[in-house]
Amino acid sequence: MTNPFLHEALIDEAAISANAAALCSDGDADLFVADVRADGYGHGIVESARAAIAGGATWLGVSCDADVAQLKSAGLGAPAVVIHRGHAKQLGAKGSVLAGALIRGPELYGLTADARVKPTMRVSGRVVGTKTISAGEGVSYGYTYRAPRTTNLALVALGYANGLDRFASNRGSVQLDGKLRMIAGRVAMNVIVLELGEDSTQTGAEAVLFGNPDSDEPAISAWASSLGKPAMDIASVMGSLLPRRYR
Amino acid sequence: MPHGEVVVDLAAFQTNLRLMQKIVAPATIMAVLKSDAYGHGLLRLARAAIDAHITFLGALDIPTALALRRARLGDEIDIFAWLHTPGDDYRTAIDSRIDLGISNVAELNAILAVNSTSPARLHLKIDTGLHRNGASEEDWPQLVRAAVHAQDGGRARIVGVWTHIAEASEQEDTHAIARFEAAIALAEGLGAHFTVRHLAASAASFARADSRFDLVRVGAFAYGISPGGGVTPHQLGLHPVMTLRSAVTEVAVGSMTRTALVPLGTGDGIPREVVNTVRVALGGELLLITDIGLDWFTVDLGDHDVAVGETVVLFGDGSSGELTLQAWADALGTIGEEIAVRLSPRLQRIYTF
Repeated sequence: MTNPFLHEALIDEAAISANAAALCSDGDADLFVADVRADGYGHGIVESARAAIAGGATWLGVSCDADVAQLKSAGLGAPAVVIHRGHAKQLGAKGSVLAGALIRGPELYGLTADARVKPTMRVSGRVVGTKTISAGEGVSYGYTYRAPRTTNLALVALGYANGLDRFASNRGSVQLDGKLRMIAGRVAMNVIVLELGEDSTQTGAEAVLFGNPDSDEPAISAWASSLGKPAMDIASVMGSLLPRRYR
Repeated sequence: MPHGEVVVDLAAFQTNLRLMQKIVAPATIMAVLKSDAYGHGLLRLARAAIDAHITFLGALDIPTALALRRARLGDEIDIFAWLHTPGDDYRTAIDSRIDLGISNVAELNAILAVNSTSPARLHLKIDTGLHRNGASEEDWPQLVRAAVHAQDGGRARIVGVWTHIAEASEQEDTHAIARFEAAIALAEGLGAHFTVRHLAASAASFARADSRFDLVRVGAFAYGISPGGGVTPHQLGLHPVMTLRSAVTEVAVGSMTRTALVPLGTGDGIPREVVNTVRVALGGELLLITDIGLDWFTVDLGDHDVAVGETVVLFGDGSSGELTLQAWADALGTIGEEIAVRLSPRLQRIYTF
């Protein structure tokens, strides 16, 4: 049970299609395998597959038979291959390797530094409370953050149950009202607290963890590098744990 | 088996709840079922809790609370939701007799504005230092007065008072308990009377009698997850509830190495940091994870002979020689809850009794 009013992963299907189209020029389009494993890296296996095919992909790269069944039941008849550590193998016990396969996974979802592709996932959470604390007062479990001076705080409905790593405690930043704000104290299961200094915000305001850098939102790559892990790990986990919305 | 299975031991969950109930008596227990019952599966765990005579369920938000109410668990079951946004369906929540945690007057007004024919059941929250939600000491009298006014007008019923503590230190928690007691006294002076006063979650309620009041909110310990830092569930008398297992799909024999491939990876919620850190149980041995991808990880078999299809237990209660979730958490520098709730909803949950 997830609550789309608290937070969401917004998926840009047109951007997946555009990325696929941009990547087609890397080789023979007949051998272009759109990697939709891990529920389309958290974007939804069916929606990602459909968008990638619209962008020119010929094959769908999956993990297992269950993925194929899910695609077929959604009416996607494109041929599938199992992606097996760098190569694509056709289905069945005697399936042969698809020679020269052009497998595109993280690139398809804008999760690499490739300048031709755009990010396809935006993660945000709502401000569910605000308050002001005095210098020296602690925030969240263990009081690992102490306010250096009087500061305003925003409570935001994103936590480690939504894939926002506990490791981001007192380390990661989230954009609110156009500014990057530090996560104050420990990331909890369902909430984080942002340090606003003298600025204030409103309950219901949207805090953006990452989104579209062309609209001055933080890039998923920036969030990933603040945690020292690949962007694909972030997208596949957050997309599977948050309510997804498509545009 | 499918590529991976989360096996949930409902008997262990119930045993943990009974243990906690015994420890905190005469206080009672709210079983916290937020975040899909910490990744274990909301409705199955709710039914197991009720079978273990728990009558108060913690849901987090209104959609989860309504899902519990619609599951026909019994009209007498109390269900608590406390994280609200302006889009929430307060009307249905009130009509469904959901207990609502309230932190400020604006939230109270939004709840009263839906004009339900039933009174809204309120738990007023005071901030005793955690600085997440809850009214500040300064705003507390105003919140209490507004709630009493709504109750006098028949639009609300003040059921509870609550807070959340930081567990930063024994002394800090003592301060928080004192602030809670002061807030209750002040509210009673303003005409509020509370049936349930609740402050403690698992660890505090286990350790301190003065934290228990009327009700304790038990999440982690019910799932057999201990606070970590070297304290194991077994030391506390708790039983791990979740087991994560898979099966070998391939064995690669090189000139120097022998490696098993297991079809679980970062896309299933396994943290990348397990590589060269965590060992899994396979063929009676504890073997090191050596690499990970989106939907696979590899295990160094050393000299051991392992067959394709053999079961791999990542973590569990230790009965097959595997590590516990707690050992994973300690090795990865986090807490067991984070590992459990990150596991992909696509992994099949299997229930045992």
